[in-house]
Amino acid sequence: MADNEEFERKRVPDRALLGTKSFVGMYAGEHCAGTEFMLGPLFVAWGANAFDLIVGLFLGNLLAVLTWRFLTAEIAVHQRLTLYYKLEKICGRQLVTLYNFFNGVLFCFLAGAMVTVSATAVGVPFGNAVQMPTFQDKYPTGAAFIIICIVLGILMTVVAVRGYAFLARMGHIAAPWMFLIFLACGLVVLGRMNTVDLFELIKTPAGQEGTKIPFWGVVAFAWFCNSAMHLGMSDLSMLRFAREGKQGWATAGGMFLGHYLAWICAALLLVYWVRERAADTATGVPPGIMAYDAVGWAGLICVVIAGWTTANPTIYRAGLAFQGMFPKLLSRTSATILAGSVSTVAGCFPAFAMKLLDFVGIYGTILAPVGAVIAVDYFLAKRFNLATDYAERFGIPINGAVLLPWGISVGVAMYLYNYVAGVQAFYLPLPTWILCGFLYIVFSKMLNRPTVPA
Amino acid sequence: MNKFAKPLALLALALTIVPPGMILLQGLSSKPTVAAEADTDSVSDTPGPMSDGLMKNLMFAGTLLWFAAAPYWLKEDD
Repeated sequence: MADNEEFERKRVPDRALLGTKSFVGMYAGEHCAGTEFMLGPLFVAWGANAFDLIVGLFLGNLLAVLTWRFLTAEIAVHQRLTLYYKLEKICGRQLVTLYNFFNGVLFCFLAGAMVTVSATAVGVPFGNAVQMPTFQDKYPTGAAFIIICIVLGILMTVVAVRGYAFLARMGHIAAPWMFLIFLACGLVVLGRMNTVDLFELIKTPAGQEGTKIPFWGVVAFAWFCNSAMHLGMSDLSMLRFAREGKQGWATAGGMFLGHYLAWICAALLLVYWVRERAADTATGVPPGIMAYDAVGWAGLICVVIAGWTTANPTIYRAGLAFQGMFPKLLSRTSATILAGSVSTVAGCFPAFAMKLLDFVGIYGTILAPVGAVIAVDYFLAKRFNLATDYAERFGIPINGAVLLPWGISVGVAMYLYNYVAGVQAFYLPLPTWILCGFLYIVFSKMLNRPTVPA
Repeated sequence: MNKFAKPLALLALALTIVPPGMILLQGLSSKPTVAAEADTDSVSDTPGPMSDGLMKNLMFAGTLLWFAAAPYWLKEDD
């Protein structure tokens, strides 16, 4: 950012605004990550077919881009505030602390998934000495795997503490190369299977009753896997630097390179192993092994770097969230070490990586609803005669009209996810978001004072 | 170094993607057709100029070259 200023508690001035190219680079780099090596194969394991992937992912990613463009970017360029500061204005300081807690913990689990993915690559040269986790593993697969995760976790934490800027730069540099490695993996396995007919290659496995992720499930997943960022408004913090709302289209760079082409290429890796190596879709094959088999050392390095460059900023952000909870108790360094420790422990448990389709849905379901409050505050407050920036205006530490809708909507969603058969986590962010926004209007009418003359 | 960074980085990207592209083309050209299957003398798995090992080595070289050259090409202010 210009002058290294972050403008955390003020509007971004015109001199600090960024061009479209910056956003294309940022989004393309951020969404071409280690987890893409997990997500593509997981679609195959869940029985998605070629049509689901080619059309479903296209539609879902298009909807995600539209959400970024017409919702997040629109608010971001008019308000030019970070999510945290905007939330503080509406919800009050204490509610932001609660949000920071959930945000920090979920970030740690996400970073943990990336530690796991990187560990599957680091373990490859050790051969059978390291027992790699399968899709069905939830717990550590052995001492060797735990040791690799701990070493990686410590290294990632040290770098997150000492050199975030270096890693951000590393991610920026690695992004074009990483994308080509994903593409190369797809090309190589297509060549080995002597065909480019994806409809022939990617089919719901015979004998599998139905699929765990139908067409609309693929659409929903692609749309909502980053719902915390678009519906949840986390990317206000990034897009507030845009000159105009249409720069929100830059998110298409991340979606269609990382969440479309890279996912399909990663999916082809498992398709190849199932067809040619008789791998079991239920257990899958660790991404490190598949990448190494396809493109050699370049693939292994890609898996490690893709996980590393994404885990580090995630640990850093989790540290900031924890520090935001206890600014006097925790320094940024100790908060980052705390976040890194939680991430490392989480990384030892393959559940977070292997259940990534579920985890990402839960992540969005918990965090996205607060974005509905911001959307109501921005688009609908006048129409419903609600006071904007209520907590700041009336000097309250916690806005009950936000806490209750958030708690109720997430509670209902978690009940449906846990107790109603067939409700997958990735369907839930949008209904939860809509319910939270609706309840915010209702509770604001019931609990809060109406708008006051300026 | 800056003068050579861009061509070297582009060469690195080419080393990363061209060999896999050749593997794909070789795989497609060696696809057994109905005619080829009928002709028992034809070889359906003809190896091309790009072997699996060569491709992997070129990609590894491309990787090293990319991380050597790209930092000079993709400057901080890009």
